[in-house]
Amino acid sequence: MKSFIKYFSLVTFFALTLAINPSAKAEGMDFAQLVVTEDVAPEERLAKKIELTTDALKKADERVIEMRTKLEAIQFEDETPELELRNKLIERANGYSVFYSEKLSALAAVQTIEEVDLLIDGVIAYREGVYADGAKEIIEFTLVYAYTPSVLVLADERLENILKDVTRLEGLELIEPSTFVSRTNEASTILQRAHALQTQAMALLMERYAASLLITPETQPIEMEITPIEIPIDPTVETVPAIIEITPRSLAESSLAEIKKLYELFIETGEKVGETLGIS
Amino acid sequence: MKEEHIIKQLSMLKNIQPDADFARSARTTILYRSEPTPVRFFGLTQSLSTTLSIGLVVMFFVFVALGGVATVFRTPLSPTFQGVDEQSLASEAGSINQTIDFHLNEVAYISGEEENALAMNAAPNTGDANSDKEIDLLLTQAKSY
Repeated sequence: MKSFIKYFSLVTFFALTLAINPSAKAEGMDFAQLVVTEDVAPEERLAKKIELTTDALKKADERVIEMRTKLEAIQFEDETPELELRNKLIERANGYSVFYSEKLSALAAVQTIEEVDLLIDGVIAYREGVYADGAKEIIEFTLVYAYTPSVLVLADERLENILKDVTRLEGLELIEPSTFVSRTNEASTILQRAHALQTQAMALLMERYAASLLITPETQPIEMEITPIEIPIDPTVETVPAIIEITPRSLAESSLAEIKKLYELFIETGEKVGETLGIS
Repeated sequence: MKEEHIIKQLSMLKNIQPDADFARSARTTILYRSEPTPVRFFGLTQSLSTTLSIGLVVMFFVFVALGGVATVFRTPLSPTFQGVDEQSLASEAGSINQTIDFHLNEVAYISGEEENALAMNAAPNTGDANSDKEIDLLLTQAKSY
């Protein structure tokens, strides 16, 4: 009876928390988990721990396969440093896959909660100490060599189509020839800047890789040195120059930020064309 | 007297015959000439042509009444000016923004950053789709269960 009252009051409190403050749902879930954990049998806890860990390890392996597939899809010419680096990153991804597969096999032989916890600790430590740095390099490489170039190609095509349409509309005398000159010029400038940043990102990535080959032995992870560079925020405003860390990733991010800006301008241009033609 | 003279003259005309060459050439012309177009078919052609012309004129007026060039832009069947089409632009921009944010979140998360100003401001919820984050959450859950 005593345990029933205890359980009933816990459930009532939990329900009231959710009813009074729906935004506390996430916290409520943790609380619910604690309640369940307190009451479940050790066998059930073990089974649940194994289930969650298996799920995590399978997803981790899938993640590595996905990264490796993206790397393999990037094509380079033979005997180039880019290809060499890509292959090294693929090898590294294979290493992560081996680790997760081994842990999955080990998990099948686990008998106690302590053993599972030990295995989980090992996986977490590996992900923090080994995987995170390597995966960061793989993701950055993919960002610089696959994703950003694909977005730039799309933006190039869109600008080309916009310029063609504007020229045709001018030819049909549906719009004034000078109406869109400033917009299309601005768009071309932004796109050129995005391309330049992307080129710099690729150059810097390879530069750092070359430097790492001179410093680091083959067996160690490819450490890319970070060089802080001083860049004034705005030359027209008198401020203390900001120290921005220039990395391949930051350059690729800046390139993508330019693309976002470019698409805002494209949408404005589309709207302006619509207004001029009286269709929006 | 006059009547008799006329009858006599007419009787003489009865004996008039064509020249042999002319008769042969006329016969050939009659036998091998092309079939003349029936008047009925000609009438039908004329009728169709007129109907088509009227139809085109009506269509033109309907086109103008519905907005002329504006309709060309609005209809999805006419991809004439897709480059500046607002709907297509908005769709492409939305898709690009979403994938950019996803990639930036991905790299920000694995770099151990609390937040990436560019990505987090634009898409605060895309982190849910990040696999590494999901894996870490599962491991934490498994450990604390």
